[in-house]
Amino acid sequence: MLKYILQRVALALAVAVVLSFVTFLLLNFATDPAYAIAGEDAEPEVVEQIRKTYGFDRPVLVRYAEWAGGVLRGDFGESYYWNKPVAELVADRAPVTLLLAVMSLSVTVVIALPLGIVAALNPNSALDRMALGIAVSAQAVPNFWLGLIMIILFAVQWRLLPVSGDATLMHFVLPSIVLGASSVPAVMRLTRTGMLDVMESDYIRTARAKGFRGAALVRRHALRNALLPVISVLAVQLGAKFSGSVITETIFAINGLGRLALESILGSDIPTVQILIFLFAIVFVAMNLLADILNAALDPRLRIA
Amino acid sequence: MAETVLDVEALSVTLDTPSGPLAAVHHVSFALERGQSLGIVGESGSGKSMTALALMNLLPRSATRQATRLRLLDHDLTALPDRRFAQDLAGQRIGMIFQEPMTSLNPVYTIGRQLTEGVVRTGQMDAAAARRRALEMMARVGLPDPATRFDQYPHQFSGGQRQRVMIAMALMAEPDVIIADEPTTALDVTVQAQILRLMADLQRDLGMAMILITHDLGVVAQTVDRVAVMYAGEFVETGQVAQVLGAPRHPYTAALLHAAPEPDGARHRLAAIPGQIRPVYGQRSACVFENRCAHATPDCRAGHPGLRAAAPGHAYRCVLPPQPRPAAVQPQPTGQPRDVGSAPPVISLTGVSRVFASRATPFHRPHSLRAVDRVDLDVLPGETFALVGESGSGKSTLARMLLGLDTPSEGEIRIDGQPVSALQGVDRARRIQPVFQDPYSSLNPRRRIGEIIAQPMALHGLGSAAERSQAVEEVMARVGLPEAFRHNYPNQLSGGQRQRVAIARALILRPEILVCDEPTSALDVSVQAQILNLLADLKAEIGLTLFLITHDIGVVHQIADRVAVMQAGRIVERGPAARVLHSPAEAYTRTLLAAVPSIARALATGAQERGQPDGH
Repeated sequence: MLKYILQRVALALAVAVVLSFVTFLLLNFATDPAYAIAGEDAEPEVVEQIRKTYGFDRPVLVRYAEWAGGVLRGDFGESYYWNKPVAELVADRAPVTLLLAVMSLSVTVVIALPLGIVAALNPNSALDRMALGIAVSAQAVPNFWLGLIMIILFAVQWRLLPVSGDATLMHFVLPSIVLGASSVPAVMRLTRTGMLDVMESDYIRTARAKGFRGAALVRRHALRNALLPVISVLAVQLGAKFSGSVITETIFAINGLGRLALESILGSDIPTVQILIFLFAIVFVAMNLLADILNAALDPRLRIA
Repeated sequence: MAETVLDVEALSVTLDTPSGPLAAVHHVSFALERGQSLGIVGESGSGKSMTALALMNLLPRSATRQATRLRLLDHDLTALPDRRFAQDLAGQRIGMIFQEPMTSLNPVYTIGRQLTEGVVRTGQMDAAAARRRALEMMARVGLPDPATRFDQYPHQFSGGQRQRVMIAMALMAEPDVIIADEPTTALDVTVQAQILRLMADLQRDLGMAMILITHDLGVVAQTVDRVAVMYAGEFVETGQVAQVLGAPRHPYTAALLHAAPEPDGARHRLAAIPGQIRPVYGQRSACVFENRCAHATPDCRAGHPGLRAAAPGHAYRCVLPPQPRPAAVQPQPTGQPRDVGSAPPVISLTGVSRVFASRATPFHRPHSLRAVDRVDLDVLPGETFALVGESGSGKSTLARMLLGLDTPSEGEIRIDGQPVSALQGVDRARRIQPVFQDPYSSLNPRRRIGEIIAQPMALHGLGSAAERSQAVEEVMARVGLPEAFRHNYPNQLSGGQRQRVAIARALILRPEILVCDEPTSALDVSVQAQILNLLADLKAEIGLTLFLITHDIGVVHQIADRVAVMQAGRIVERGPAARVLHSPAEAYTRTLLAAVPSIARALATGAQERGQPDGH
């Protein structure tokens, strides 16, 4: 098991290094940072001056090494747009987004898992059809539209929840539901299929022959097997919540990483954008690593390194 | 008089199907005393597994159970709600062992947990006592080092070991009745012999009643006291093993016995049973076997035959007078190998090995496995060459290399004197063609039969549409498929018909050699006989060379000229089939042969051991 974990961690680190290099290259080739700082109408001499001052005239590999070294030391560079260290910006905004991501994933889990399990245990029942109906409609509804409708209903019409902002926990309720709902269809369907397969399996028949029925059968024999594939998907979904926060935070005026990303892109603030893209990618890698380890803990067949 | 533990009268199971209610089990009655064993034999679709599931309250949602009496000890199961059955009886008083040991254990929990949870759940034992009992049972079923293995997971056990775990699990609560549904079908023959012996021993020692469900008459003959032959949901013949298998009174029982290749007897043409089981919807107004019976008369359609007694304890459902056993059996057409001795071999293997090596990664050292180990082999034109071995012996890897689907790591394979590697496309297809094991998955379900059979021609761009159509017609006639089937889809055909399609597809390019990998192991006995007869006919009529890969000694006995026995990648013994099967030289061959269940042998030893075959 330890060997398996070390292996996975080593692989994750390798992926992270490659990711950082690719994002760095992409941003530095797709845009000219000197122009970005100088602005669109700047004189060529000014641009050249900026290029020299900031060292953009040096080879890209040297600049990458410098940047990566800084990241390792916790120095994320300086924002041109906000005139602040990027590390400070990120540290300010990250807790808000983390809270939003965790809350919305909880919304997904709380809705999708029980619905999927109950649907699978009563296949083709009214309950099953209703669950599938919910999944299909949720899949069809765009995120931003659901957000606006919820604001109109719950915040404007009925005044149950705040419209926007991130001052209290209540402010996070609507955005979490909106962001969480987008993952419900995929997770619910996977839970349902996994559970259906497991309930048809030979070892469930063995457990029934031993006298297990109902909740005990599901809890003691079916659940762990059915949830193995769901765990991997949930990990990816949590990663998607971070990148998905760009739209949701904008709709609900939440000052998190998503909104920071949008503002930095609009302001051509390359150092910030760079770190944010890298961070969002790292969240994916870390979540996948976590899912791999969780899966191995739950499924002995995976532990053979 | 021993205590009756299970008493079943007029048990029926009705399946709700789109075509109406289907009687999967119809008026089945039997009683089991403590220490008795009953075998239920039947082909697929006979209702034997449904009977078991009905006794265990494990029927699918679409099935309903009726019975005039269904008693387990002093419990009336017809009146007992499922919750109570699960709470008080399932796994405790009545246990079950399933067919598939590889998938019947939960992969994510330890063996120990799965062994003990049943008795702990019902409060029969605390965790510590259950663990002691589990270790004891593991030792009893022959699992070495129980204390270590208790904490291991199913994937760390072999198939035979998992079936031992299943048996230990079923015995944890010392049930009064144990039901075993095809417990050894998925296992190798030597493992099967061990498991059957173990079950018979345990049943006798613990004084349980046992129901053994199987399609294999040999298994029944050597394991149980009484047998019930099941057909279309009903018991058509019941009695002591020696009565039913020694002097069958129902034509179906007799036909089954003639359809099974018997390794100890002389080789003769198998008497295949034509047609297939006809499902019965609604009322039973005629004999269920009448449409396939060689002796059927108008009387058979006049009414549903009741049970008649042939002897005390021996009953059958047939209105006909006892049939004389067919005296003259047809000889199997052989078709002598062309120019035996002088002809050059059509297949020739020299020093062929296949080594599977895992790739070296930063985390793994490479390791390798010799699946096939320096095999030399010649197959002569027109002969049937059988390669016999247990799972993992390397026989299928060898077949894949022969077909060019895999490449030898060392050595050379020649077909018609040319290296296989040099034969490409249509050259190879015209020489050698495969027939695979499972006709349910080896035919494309979305193509019509005619297209499937013509596929090899289409693939190589051979012939015009009219020529292909002509070729399909000829080859379908050759394998005994009605021409009307060419527009059908595979799922409209029975297993035997599908295997005929697979053979027709292999024959359409007129190859010299057919490589048949377990061609009948997915089929019922009566259908297996049809396919073996067809292969023998093809060999005699068109001089085909057959390369047969099988684990089934009966099949080898039935059609092979020469045989090679493979173990762990090597050929340990080879020679003419008659010589190898009747006077094997190697210890492994002898073990293999001794493990094959034989009806004749079981009846002979059973008569000796039991003295009088009346069971009292």
